[in-house]
Amino acid sequence: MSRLIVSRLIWVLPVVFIVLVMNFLLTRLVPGDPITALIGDFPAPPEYEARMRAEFGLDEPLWRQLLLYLWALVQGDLGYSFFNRQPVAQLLWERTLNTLLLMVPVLIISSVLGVLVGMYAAVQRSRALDVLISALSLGGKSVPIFWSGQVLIILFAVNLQWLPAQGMQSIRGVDPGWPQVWDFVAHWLMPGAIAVAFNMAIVARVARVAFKESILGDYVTTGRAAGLSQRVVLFRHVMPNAMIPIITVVGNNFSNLLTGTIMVEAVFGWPGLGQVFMTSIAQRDYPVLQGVFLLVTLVTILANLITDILYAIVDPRVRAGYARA
Amino acid sequence: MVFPMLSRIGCALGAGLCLTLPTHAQDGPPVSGGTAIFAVGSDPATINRNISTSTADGLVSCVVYEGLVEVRAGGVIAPLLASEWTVSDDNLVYEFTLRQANWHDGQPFTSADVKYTLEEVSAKFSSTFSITAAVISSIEAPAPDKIVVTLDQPYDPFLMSLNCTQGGAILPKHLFEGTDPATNPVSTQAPVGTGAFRFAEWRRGEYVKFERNPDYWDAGKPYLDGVIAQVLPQSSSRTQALMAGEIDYVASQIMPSSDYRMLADNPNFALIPSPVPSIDVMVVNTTRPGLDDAKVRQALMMATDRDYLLATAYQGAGAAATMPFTNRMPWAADADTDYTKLYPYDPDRAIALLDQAGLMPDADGTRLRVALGYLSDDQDGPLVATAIKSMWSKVGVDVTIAPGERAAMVPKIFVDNDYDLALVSYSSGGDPALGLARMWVSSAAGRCCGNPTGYSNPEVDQLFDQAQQAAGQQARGAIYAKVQHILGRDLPTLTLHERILSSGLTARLKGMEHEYYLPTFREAWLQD
Amino acid sequence: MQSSIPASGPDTRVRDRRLVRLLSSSVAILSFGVILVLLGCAVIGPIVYSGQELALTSASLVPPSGQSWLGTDELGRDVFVQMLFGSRTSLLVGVAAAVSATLVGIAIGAIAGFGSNRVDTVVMRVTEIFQVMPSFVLAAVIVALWGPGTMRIILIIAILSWPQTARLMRGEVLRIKSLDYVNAARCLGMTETQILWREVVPNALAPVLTVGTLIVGQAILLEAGLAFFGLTSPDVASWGKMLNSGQRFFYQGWWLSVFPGLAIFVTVLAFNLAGDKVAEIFNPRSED
Repeated sequence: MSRLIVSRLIWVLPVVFIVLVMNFLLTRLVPGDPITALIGDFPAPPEYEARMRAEFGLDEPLWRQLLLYLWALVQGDLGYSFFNRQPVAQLLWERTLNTLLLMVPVLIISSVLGVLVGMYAAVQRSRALDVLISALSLGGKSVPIFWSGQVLIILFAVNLQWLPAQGMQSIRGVDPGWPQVWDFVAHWLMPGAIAVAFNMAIVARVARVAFKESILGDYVTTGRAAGLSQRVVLFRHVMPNAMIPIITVVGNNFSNLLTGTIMVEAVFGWPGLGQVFMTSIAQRDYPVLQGVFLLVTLVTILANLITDILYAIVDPRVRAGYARA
Repeated sequence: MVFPMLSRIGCALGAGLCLTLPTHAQDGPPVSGGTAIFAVGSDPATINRNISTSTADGLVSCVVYEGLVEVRAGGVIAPLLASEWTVSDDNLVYEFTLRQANWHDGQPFTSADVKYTLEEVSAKFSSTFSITAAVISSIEAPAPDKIVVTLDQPYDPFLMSLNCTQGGAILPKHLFEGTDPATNPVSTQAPVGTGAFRFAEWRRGEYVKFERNPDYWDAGKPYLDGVIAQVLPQSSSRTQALMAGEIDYVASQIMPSSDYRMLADNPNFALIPSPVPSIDVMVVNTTRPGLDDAKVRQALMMATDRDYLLATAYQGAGAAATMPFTNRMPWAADADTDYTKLYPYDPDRAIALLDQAGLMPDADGTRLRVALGYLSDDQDGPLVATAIKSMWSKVGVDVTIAPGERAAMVPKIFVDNDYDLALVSYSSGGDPALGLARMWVSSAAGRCCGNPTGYSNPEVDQLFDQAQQAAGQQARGAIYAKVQHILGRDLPTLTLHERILSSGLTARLKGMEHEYYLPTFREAWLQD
Repeated sequence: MQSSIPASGPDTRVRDRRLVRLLSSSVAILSFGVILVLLGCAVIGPIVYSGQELALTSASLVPPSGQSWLGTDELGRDVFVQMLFGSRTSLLVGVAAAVSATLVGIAIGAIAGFGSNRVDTVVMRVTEIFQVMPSFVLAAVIVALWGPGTMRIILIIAILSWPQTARLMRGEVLRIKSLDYVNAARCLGMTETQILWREVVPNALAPVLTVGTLIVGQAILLEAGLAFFGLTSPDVASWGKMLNSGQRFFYQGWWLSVFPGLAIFVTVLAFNLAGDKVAEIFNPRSED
C-alpha cells in the first residue's frame, strides 16, 4: 500500500508542473489582456497603459513571465491579483472555503444517496420501479442547471418567498448562533439540492449497473446456497465487488469539487471559487487564474490518489496488481 | 458598451430634455432608518472613482466620496462639498467656498485635500478628469475653506467635471499623500470619505457594507441607517433578487433591459429612466472591400428595419434612431438628415443600390459576405445580430455572426480594426464634442474607444474642431448640422437605436429620483 | 456467467436472442423510439422548413397557437421551426462528442489497465493532466482562436469527456483481468491482446456504455452552458441556445424556454435509458 502511495506521489510534481505550464500558456493564448479590462470603457492615454503593463510585469517576454511565476511559486508566493489588488492566496482562501461549504455536504449526500438508490433499484424486483428510479435520478442531470435553478428561484424565492434567491447568507444580518445556521441552510437548500441531483445521477446509475452485475456473480449464488441472509450477501459480498466503478464515479465527482459548481454558483450568486474563476477569465486576471488552476490540479490529483488507494483497499487483487511490479 | 457620461445634459441643452419628475406627494416626509441593498455586477477592484472608471467601482465609490459639486437628474449642478462659488466674467477663474465637514476618520476636510486630490490623483489617474486637468492652469488654496481654480481657456463642462462620477471626488490628503493611490489600502480595502455613508465591511464576492455617517455635514441626512452593495454577477439574478425582496435597487448600468416591462407592470417596483442617453451603433470597417462604398452602406441601412429591431430585439425600450447623433439633441440636428426619409426600410431599393455598387449575386444569390461582431456580455447583441442576419439575407447579404468576449473584442475592433461590422454603443456625453466626435474624427482612430471605422474625412475633422471652439449653442448647432449632413450620407456608422437605460427599484425605496449617474443614497429612504 | 470460452467468433444465436430481449423491453422500445423520432426530426425537419430558420414570421412573443404551434420568440421567429433546426445541432453535438470520447476513453483505459505498470502509470498521469485542464478556459481559448462552431464544440466536449471513460474502463479492466475466467483463458494459451479484445473489453463495456450515454447528455448540456456564457455562435440554432435566450424572457414567454428544456430533458433521458438497456442486455455476464 505505501508503495502504491509513494509511486503515485512521485508523479505529483511533474503532473503539476506540466499542468501549470500548459495553463500558463493557455491563458496567454486567449486574445485580450488584463489592461483592457482594467482600463474599462474610457480612452486611456498610452503612457497610462504602459505604466500598468510594467507594473504587472506584462511587458516582459512570455518565457520570462513564466519563469518569474514559477520561481515565485516555489517560494510559496501565488502572486497578486491585478484586479482585486489583493494577494491571490488570500483571495482564493476565502472563496475556496465558500465553495467547500456548498460542495462538501453536496458530495457526501449525493454519494451516499446515489449508492443507496442504485442498490435499491438493483435489488428490488419491480421493473416499473426500476425505470422510475432511473428516470428520477437522471432528472437532475438531464436539465441545464441555469434553467432548473431559475425555475426554482422563481418558484420558491420570487413567488412563494420561502427561500432566499441569491447568496450564501442574509446580508442584512442575522443573530449569531442557530439563526445564523438556519440562515445558511436556507441559502444552501436550492443550490445544494440542484448540485446533489446533478452529482447523484451518475453515482446512482453506475451503482445500479454495478450491483446488478455483482448480484449475478458466483459468490452470490454460493453465499445464498450456503444459507447466508440476503442482507449479509448484499453488504458483505455484493457491495465490495460493486465498489470499483462506484468509487471511480464518486472520485470523479470529488475531483470536480472546486469547478463542478461554476454554473450553480453563477445562478445562485454563491460567492465561491467558480465565481472568482469566471470573473477572472473576463478580466484576464492571470495570477488569480493560475492560482485557481493550481488548486484545481491539486484537488484532482488528490482525489485520484484517494480513488486508487480505495481501489486497493476494496479489491485486494488491484493491490496485488500493483505489487506485481 | 456603455460609456459613462462626460458632461452635463439637461435643461441647458433644450427644453425637451428637462425631465420633469413626478412629485410623490403621497409618499409623505422621509422616514429615517432601515438598510437599502443595491446590486453590483462584480467585486469592486477599488473604491476610488478617481482612479477607476469601471461600473462596479463607480457604483460603490460615490456612496463614500463626494465632489465639490453634485449633478442632479436633469443635469442641474448643485453645491456639495463646495457650498457656493463665483465665476469670473471671462469664465477663467472659479472661486469655491468649502463646507465645514469631517473625514470619516474624524480629521477635518480642508482646501488642502481639494488641491492635493485634483492635482495629484484626479489629474494623473482619472481618464475622465485628465481631460479637464489639461485646461487647468493653477489650483490655489488661499484659506482652509477657499479654493481657486484658474483655467487656460473657457471650458463649459468644468463644474460638471468636479463631481464624483467624473473622477473629481475629493480624497483625504492625510491618507494618500506620498503613496501610490492605486495600491493604497484606502483605495483597495477601506475608503475614508466625507460622504453620507462610511465604509463598514467588505466581504469579497459577497458584499460591501456602508453605515450611516453620524457626523455628516448635511445634518439630518442620510435617512438610511446603512447601504449595502451586494455582488450579483449574473444579470438575471439581479432581477430575481429584486423581485424576491432581497435587494432594493439595481442601477441603470447593470439592470437587464429585458426586465423593464415586467417591473413597470408590477406596482411593487418602479423604474427610473437614466438621464444619460446613449446610442446603439453598427460601426463599419470602411477599409473592407464592398463596405468601402458608401452606396453599399446606404443599402445596408435600407435593408435594416429599425422599427422592427426596436419592437423586438430592444423590447420596445428607447426609440429608433433617425440621425447619426442621438435624437435627443435637437439643437444639433440637420433638417435634411432624417433616416426615416433618407433610408426607410426598403429591401428593393437596397438591392438596386447594391446593383449600382456593382455587387451582383453569385451562384448562391449572395452579393456580399460579412461578419457581424458584438461583445458577448451585450445582452441584446445576439438578438440584434440575428434579426439583421435575417433582414439582410433578403437583399443577398450573408452575415456570419461573430461575437467575442469584451477583453478580446475591444482591442480587435478599436485598436487592430480587424472586423467587418460590429455592434457597439456610445454614450452621447450630452454634447457631441465629448461623447460623439470620437466616433468619426481621424484623431480618435486606433484607440479604445474612438473611431474604429477607418473613415477619415478632413472636412468632418475640421467641422468638429470648429464646433468645439464655437460659442453658443446656436452657432455650434449649425456646425453640427453640417457634420450630421455629411455623416448621414457617408454612413461610416449605422446608428440603429436610441437607448434609454433605467434603474429598477422596489417601490418602497424613495428619494432616488434625483440621482444622476452613480448613486449616492444621500436622500434615499425606505417607506414602511 | 460463462463457463466456457468461445474459441472463435461471436455466437450468432446468442446475439439474436439478445436482440429479441431488447425488442421485448418496453423501456428499450420507448427510448429507442424517442431517439428515432428525434433523429427523424433532425434530418427531415430542416429540409421541410428549409430557409425558414431565420424567417421573422409574425409578431414577437406570441403564445403557442394553431398558427405557430409552440409560439414565437422575442424576434418573432417560430419556436417550432427553431426547435427542428436546433435538434440537428444538439443531437450532432451530443452523439458525436460521446462517440469520440467513448472510443478514445476505451482505448486509453484499456491500454492503461492492461499494460504494464509503467504504461499504466504514464497513461493515467496523462489522463490526469487532461482531467485537470480547466474546461472553461480550454473552451474559451478554442472559441477565441478559431471562433465558435459546432465541430469545435464537439472537439472541446470530447477532449473534456474522455478521461472519465478512461478511468472507468481502467478500473473495470483491473477488476476483470484478475477474474478466474480470464486466468483460465490465459491458461488456454490466449495472448494478452486476444484476452484484451475478446474478454476484457466486452465485459467492461456495460459500465462504460452507461457513462457513454451520460456523455451524450453532458455534451448537450455543456453546449447549452457555453451558450449561457455567450461562447457559442448565434448563427446556428441549438436547444441550448434557445433555452439560454429564452430564460431572459421567462416572465413574458414561458414557452421560449419550456419547450427546448423539455426537448433536452426527453432526449437525455431517452439516451440514458437506452444505454442502460443495451448495457444490461449485451453484457455477456447478464445472460443466463
